[in-house]
Amino acid sequence: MIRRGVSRLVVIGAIIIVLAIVAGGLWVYYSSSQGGGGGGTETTTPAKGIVLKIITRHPSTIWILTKEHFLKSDIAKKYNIVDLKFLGPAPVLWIDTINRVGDIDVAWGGGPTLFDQLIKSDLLEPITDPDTLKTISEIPDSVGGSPLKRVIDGKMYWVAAAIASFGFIVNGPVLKKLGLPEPKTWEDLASVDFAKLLPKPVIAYARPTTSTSHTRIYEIILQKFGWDKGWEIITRIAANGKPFDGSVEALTAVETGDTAVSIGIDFYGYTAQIEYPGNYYVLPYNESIINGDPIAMLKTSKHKEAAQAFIRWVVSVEGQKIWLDKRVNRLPVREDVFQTPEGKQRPDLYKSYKDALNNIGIPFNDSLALQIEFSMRYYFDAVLADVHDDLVQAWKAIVDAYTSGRITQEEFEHWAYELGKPLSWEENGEVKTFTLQFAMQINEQLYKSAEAQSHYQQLWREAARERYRSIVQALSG
Amino acid sequence: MSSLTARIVKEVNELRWHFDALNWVQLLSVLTVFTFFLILPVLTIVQSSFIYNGKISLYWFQHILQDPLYLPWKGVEGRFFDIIEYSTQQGKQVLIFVEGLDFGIILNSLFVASMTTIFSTLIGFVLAFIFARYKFFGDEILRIALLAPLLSTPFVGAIGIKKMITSEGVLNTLFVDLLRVMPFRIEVTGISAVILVQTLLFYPITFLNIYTSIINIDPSLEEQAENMGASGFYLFRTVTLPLSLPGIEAGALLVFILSIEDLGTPIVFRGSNADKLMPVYIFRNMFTPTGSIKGDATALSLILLLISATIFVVLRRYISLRRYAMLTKGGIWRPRRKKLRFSVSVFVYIICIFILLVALLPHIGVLLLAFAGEWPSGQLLPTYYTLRNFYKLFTEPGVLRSIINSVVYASVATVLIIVLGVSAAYLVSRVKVRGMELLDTLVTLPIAIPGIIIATGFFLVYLTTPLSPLIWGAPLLIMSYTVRKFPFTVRAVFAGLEQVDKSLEESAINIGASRTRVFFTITLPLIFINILAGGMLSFIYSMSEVSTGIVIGDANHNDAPMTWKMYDMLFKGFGGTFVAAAMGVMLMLLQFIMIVGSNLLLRKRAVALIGI
Repeated sequence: MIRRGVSRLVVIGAIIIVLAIVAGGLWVYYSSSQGGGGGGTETTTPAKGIVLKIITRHPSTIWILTKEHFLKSDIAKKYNIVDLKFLGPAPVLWIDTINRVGDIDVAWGGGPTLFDQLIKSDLLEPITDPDTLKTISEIPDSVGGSPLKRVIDGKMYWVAAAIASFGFIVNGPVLKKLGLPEPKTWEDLASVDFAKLLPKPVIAYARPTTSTSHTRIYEIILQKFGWDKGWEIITRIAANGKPFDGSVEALTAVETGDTAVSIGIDFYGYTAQIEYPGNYYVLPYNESIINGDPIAMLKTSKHKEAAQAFIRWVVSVEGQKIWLDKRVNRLPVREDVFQTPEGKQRPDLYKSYKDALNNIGIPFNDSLALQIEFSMRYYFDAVLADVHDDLVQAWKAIVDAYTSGRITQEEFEHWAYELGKPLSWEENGEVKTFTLQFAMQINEQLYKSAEAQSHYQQLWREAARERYRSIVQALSG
Repeated sequence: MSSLTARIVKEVNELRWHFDALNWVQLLSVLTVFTFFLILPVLTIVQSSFIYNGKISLYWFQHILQDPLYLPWKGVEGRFFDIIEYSTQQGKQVLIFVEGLDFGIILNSLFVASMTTIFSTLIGFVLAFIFARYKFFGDEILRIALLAPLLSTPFVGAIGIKKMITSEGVLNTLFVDLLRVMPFRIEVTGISAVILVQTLLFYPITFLNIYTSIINIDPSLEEQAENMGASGFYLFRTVTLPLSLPGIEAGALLVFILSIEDLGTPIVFRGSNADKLMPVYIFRNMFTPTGSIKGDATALSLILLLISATIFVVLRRYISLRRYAMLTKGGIWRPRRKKLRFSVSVFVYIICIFILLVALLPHIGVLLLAFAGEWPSGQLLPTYYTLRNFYKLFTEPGVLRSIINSVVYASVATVLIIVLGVSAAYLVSRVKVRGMELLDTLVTLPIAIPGIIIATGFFLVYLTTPLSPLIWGAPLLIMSYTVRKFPFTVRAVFAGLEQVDKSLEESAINIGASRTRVFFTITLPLIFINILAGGMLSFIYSMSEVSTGIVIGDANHNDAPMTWKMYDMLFKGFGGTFVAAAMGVMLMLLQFIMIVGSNLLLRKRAVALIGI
């Protein structure tokens, strides 16, 4: 009898617990799906007020800071914007997400490439609000030859909200431990010095299919050195290092000492500098560009006025202060923010800003970069990342032959060129070469068709493998 | 014709006789959930891998089977190890760089799973034999300590061990730079590192299974053999080993499945040939940069599924609900355990402590990382220690939110698992109708379906529906936890049901109670402990679920669970290693409480529950 009573109590208790969990779960879930974005301490949204939806590549730190500062601003009050909801899918999912969700207002951060892709997909709405255009006019049209605004037929499609340069992050202590020289240029990373530990890789880089910023870096190298020489340098850097999925993974590798160097965007370097003493950012002089990181309004916006007001705030002095936070460390798009009290506390970032502006950028052809983007990404993936082991063996064979004196400097250069020059392969009885023209020709096809991607990647992988193995054979013994 | 109709009528009538309203509700709800969140996603993968350019085709399979990326048609790539000599300011250094050969993606996965299985089984067998057959001082404590790897946290364990085994890692720093007992450095990476880490993670599973089967061997069999003159290795080879085979097979097959579907370990060693393992490759290549789903990734998923399904068919003999109940009823005899001589027990101690030290490397690494303030590479220990990382769990943007998300999803999933799991177990145990074996198979099936396949399938099925992960992550995450962690609870509940005397329920029915009433007032209270224990296990395994968590979390950061956040901080965020390690420590603590708790609740019945 007692036993029965206990069981019943237990059952009743269990049911109460279960109900409590379900109720609690539903409550938290309900409140979170309403509130979005924050750190779990959301307040409920007043019934009438605008909630802006923002799709972004920025990390959640920036979401939180933006929310905190923007919601207190006069602009937010004036337009009755009561909350910001951030969505942060990977770039590959952007177009799908924008279409699927159906009412996202603003796109923010992710590099010009991604935003130009949105224009191509007819997802951006030009900015028309006079106040917003006025604030935008306070921002220079370009820096170091790179556009900070995308104006097509007189319509303002996007404006840069931050700027960034491209270089590499160095882990000083590891560099020293491995006895490597300090790199200053892209050629340094491609040098024999950085090959001395092969097959142990010392440079981290991202597959361009997984990182828009690294894509930009490879485009810079290709434009700076020309198509053939550019591919040789990229190939040698790839052989001295190892491929990662995504730029931050590459950054993590250098921060944790897995590699001595990682190529990357400047603010990764500034943050690493603060968080991991001994790490520092190198901006290769006369070998880089400055990029604007855009913000834009989406066609799907249901609150076009409020969306433009938000954009206005982001590019205003007040909004630009977000970049100065020590957890963010990005270069603002306007210099006057450094004259504010907050700006004066970041002389280090101001110096980086000046350095970036003073760096003589290369003349960079944005539309050319766009015309070969997908060809370049898939080619890189197949030829340098997928058959990386064979690539490393071939490069090691060349380096070993050179350092042991078996081949002359001239022969070394010949082999290095052979290793990296654009591939040729046979297709339907016809020999084709990955020339700049060919890359432009198939770009659209690779952009659209997963079948074409697999087809070409397989051809390229095999041609590359054959080339690498024949080099090893020619130089062994 | 008429005979067929008659048969159908008879079957239906029989069903109606066996099933009351409650049973129908139970059956339909289990079937609905499994249809929509297991069968449908898997079938969609099967379907989409046969589509090429909009037509039905075997193109993707041909593509995969003839591409040297997947199979070594052009020979193996890479080298097992390299000896690298280089000079630094400290003089000449030698580094032995172990990465392992690359046999192409498919063979790599099979190779890693086979090697992990072999090594885990060897370690598991040696340990199981020692502990099942010999008594020595402190054996109980040592045995439990050796199960520590069961407290594993995704990524973080592998991060912990990575900190140990890289060229500037803790072990090289200790033995080469400080103690100077090793003249060269060793760096283990790539496929070799994955095998090493997985062996350390999974050997407790073989250990437990083999241990259970050895202590369940009828001692009289060995005694008879001894009476007839067998002894030593001959006795072992002809009697003990064959009798412990079921445990060895069950443990080994389970390790094989877990290894081949593991995504968390190879992800940590990315940037090496660990990239060329099936789950990683599928994870990376599911989408093109323009967002379309790639046929070769889904076709590869199907191949992975076929491999694990084959193993599952073999394994089913050991893990179906019925088999499981039989296992737990064993162990009625006193196992033969000899006392070890002191000198031998010292030897045993040395072996066990060595294994223990190696096995605890990841945990030691994670603990140190969680309390580390700063830990430059090439330094033996952190520069200083701090509680800051734990404090950051509450202050760092998004961390607390992801923890709350995980707790909510896991709780809701656990409730669903309990409701559905009790239903499924009850039906299999109590309703004697043909076809119930199918239900039994269905609910144990999730063990065999790699998480990455469920995740990919969810995307394919639900991307364009109101359940799209792009709109909200919660529904699909909850359902993926529910389906994937279902077997833990259902097995615990089934064991309970089999141990309850049916006459209690029958007498209640005889005196007029409806079956529904009996279920709620008699059956449920009797198996309450089992439900609780099974639920705890499902909860904790839901909390540490990786594959669907990071795939869906990547699509929707707001609703992402804590495993995604850890992944995000480790690989996609800034300086997150220490905070991720703190999250890992928290998760380990929770696992410890839940596993110990469910063991205390179930006592002896718990043995075969853990570790799957």
